[in-house]
Amino acid sequence: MSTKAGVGNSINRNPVEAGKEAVAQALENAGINKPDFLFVFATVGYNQEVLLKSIREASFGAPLSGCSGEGIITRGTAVESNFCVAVMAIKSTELRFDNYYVEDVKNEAGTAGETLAKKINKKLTADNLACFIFPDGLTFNFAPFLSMFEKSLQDKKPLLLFGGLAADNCESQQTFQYHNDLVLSEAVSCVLMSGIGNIAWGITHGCIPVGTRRTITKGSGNIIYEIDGMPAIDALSDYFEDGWKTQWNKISLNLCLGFKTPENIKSNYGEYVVRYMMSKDGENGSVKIQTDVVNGTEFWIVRRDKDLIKNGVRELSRQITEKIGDKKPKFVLHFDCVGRGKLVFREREKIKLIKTLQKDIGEDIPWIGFYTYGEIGPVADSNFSHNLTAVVAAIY
Amino acid sequence: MASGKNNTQSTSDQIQELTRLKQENKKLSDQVKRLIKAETRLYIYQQELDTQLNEYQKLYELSKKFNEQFNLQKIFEYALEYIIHVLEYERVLFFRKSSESGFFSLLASDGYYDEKEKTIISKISISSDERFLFPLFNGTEYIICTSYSDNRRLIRCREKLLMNEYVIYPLGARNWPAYLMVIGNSAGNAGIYRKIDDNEDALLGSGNLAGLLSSVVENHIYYSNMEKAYHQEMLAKEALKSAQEELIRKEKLFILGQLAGFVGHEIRNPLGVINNAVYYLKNILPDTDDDVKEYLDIIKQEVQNSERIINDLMDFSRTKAPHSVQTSVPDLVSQCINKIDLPRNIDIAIDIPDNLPFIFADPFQIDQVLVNLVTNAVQAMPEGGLICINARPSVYQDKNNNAGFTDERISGDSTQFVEISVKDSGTGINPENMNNLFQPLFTTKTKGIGLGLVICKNLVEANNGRIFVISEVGAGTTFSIELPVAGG
Repeated sequence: MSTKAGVGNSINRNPVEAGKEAVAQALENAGINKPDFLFVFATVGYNQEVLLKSIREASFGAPLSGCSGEGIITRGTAVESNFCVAVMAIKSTELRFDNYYVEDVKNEAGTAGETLAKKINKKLTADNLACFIFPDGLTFNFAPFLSMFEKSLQDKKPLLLFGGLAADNCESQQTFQYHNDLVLSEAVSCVLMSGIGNIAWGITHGCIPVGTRRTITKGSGNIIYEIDGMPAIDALSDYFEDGWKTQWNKISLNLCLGFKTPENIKSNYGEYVVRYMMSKDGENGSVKIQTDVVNGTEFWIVRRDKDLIKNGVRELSRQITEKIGDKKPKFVLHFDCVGRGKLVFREREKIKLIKTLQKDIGEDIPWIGFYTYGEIGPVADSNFSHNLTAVVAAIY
Repeated sequence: MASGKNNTQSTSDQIQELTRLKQENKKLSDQVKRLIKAETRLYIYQQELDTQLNEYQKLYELSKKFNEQFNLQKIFEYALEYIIHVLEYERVLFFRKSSESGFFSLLASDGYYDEKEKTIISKISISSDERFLFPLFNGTEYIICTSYSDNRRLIRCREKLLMNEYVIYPLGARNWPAYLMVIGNSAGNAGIYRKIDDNEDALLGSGNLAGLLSSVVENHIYYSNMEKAYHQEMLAKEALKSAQEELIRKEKLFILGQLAGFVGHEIRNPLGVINNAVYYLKNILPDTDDDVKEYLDIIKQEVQNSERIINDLMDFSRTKAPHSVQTSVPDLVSQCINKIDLPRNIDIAIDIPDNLPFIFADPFQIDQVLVNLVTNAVQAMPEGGLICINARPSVYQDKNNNAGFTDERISGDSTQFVEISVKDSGTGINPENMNNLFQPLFTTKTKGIGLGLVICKNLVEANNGRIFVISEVGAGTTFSIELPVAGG
């Protein structure tokens, strides 16, 4: 019984060449000719269809799942450009990968969760390990999705969800989800991993509260209309630098909302759950976050803290190495928030941080990830969505 | 009363304290807001700084690559990579001006990945008569067409370049650019690429590169011209040197010929007198002692040697016009062998086919050549050895062309020849001496004045033939002469 995995990447501008190059490297590093499954993460500069076609051809039509990110992460590198692609090729006699997709998560996140669960139900077995999901990062609402997904899933134990929300390099135009030959938008790409193996994971953020307590006085679904009785944007505008209207994605990353962590997971997670305001509506002054809100909910303005992020990375590797002991992971998936990359760290600092994390978890382990618009990873066995965090899952 | 007053006082204090705290709170809150804003600004500046640092670092590395490279095509390839990966423009084209057609034709491109677009762009060229290019020939730093440009000429060019916005930089000499660099983006995915905007900040990166490339191109052009001029100068110097050497050689030969004729003529008579005197002394002193006889023989021998040298000098000074007749090669070879007193330790092998055609040559002159060659072969084998004399029909070929032989009389495949070769098994000739073998007064022998082979060459060439030599140190030497077939 064995699992062979390898990762390749490319920054070639030509999508055909980039796809070929990344797959060829991945296969070579895995020491295999034909993979069983591919994880694919790329940035939005490429013609996505041409890129995916090239990857499919180079990998002999192996099934694949993935999405667009703000950048890619592989061993020793973290590239945040408009043109980069990373591929992990896996061949295993102990792990199985069944991939799915659902569309139209923009309006019907709950229905999408239900549809996905129904598809997965057909493949539910005792050895299901986890589901990796890659939803659209511009429109996805995690709460109704998760609620309907878990309700519709005919499983006795909760199925662990990991993943990241697809990104588009702060353009806020369109993200892409990959499923075999398909390039989708406003969709969820998903892969169910089953078989013999375990997952050790760690989650950490690096935000601290600033200022006084605030209250959502009017909200609906995942939209906050009013804070402390005034339009949400007005309530926050004093914190915004000039140009916030045109550079919302970059500026809002510096100013997130921190909600009190539910008591049942506080000990595993920390004081605050951070929420990023993924979009705004200039007309009615509302902001949108990635999960549902309730009127009267209290929160604090939070900001990123570089030292906390650095310390958090050490904590993250501790969480994982504590679980895996002396075993060596077969491969690692890494979902890091767009706000923890070049938008806060200088290039050298960022690479150093990534390398430190990779070294702490183990040398020579195939490692793939991307910079997300939101992260997904369980806290105390409850599936949870995050912002401004790093979620790292080591399969061993 | 006091208590009431105190209570009023206390409430008033509390209100004041509350107001103070509120003001304090407001101050703190404002400070936090300012801090958050400053931090946001810091991160944005930090990112911009990182981008600029990366650009400058890569530009520095690029300039080092340029300095190490003399191939202009390769230099443009490096520049393409920099524009696409560092400056992050979508498309780039380099054009080179043809001095003949006046068109700027495509030299290198990147960013066109669609096959149809690739085909279109591979055929692109721009006439230097295009009016939109004129500002470049008047010293303008660049011409720019932004996505919002309303200049009709520039807009028309968008379609040709497959770009929605572009900037064109001239490369090379000001007012007369030899190359053009075109950078731009198509309309799709506008936010992904660096925008083309007509302001200093937006064009800083491309402007820096254009400046660097321009000086590289200019240096390259100057260098190429210098190299070309230097090469031509060298060729001219070489030709001049060769002509001078030939002139000097001819002058030397002329003087040498005159001198040889004069000396030969002047010495031949006294030698004749000495020879007669020796003959007379031998006749009148038949019973003289052995010492006297020996010395008379020595005098006679040295007179003969001197006569041979004089003959050589005379032959060299004036090659007589050949009296060519139909001549048998076997007869020539036979006569030659009979004339030479071969040492006992030297064997001779002759291989001449029966049906060998007659040659058309002066038999006395060719006999003289053969005698000379066989004598040389004997002298090359003091320890003894084998001399092979072969003859065979041949067609003229440029064997070693050591004399640049281009005589029209014997060029052309239709002319038939007979090749006569004299091969020895001696020590061979050192390669450094090969080019001098047919030079007058060149000799490696202790006896002889170095005119034998020159005379051979003169005689063979006078008979419309040629002479050539192949030699291998340690294996021996073969001298061959080619002479035209009678009636050929």
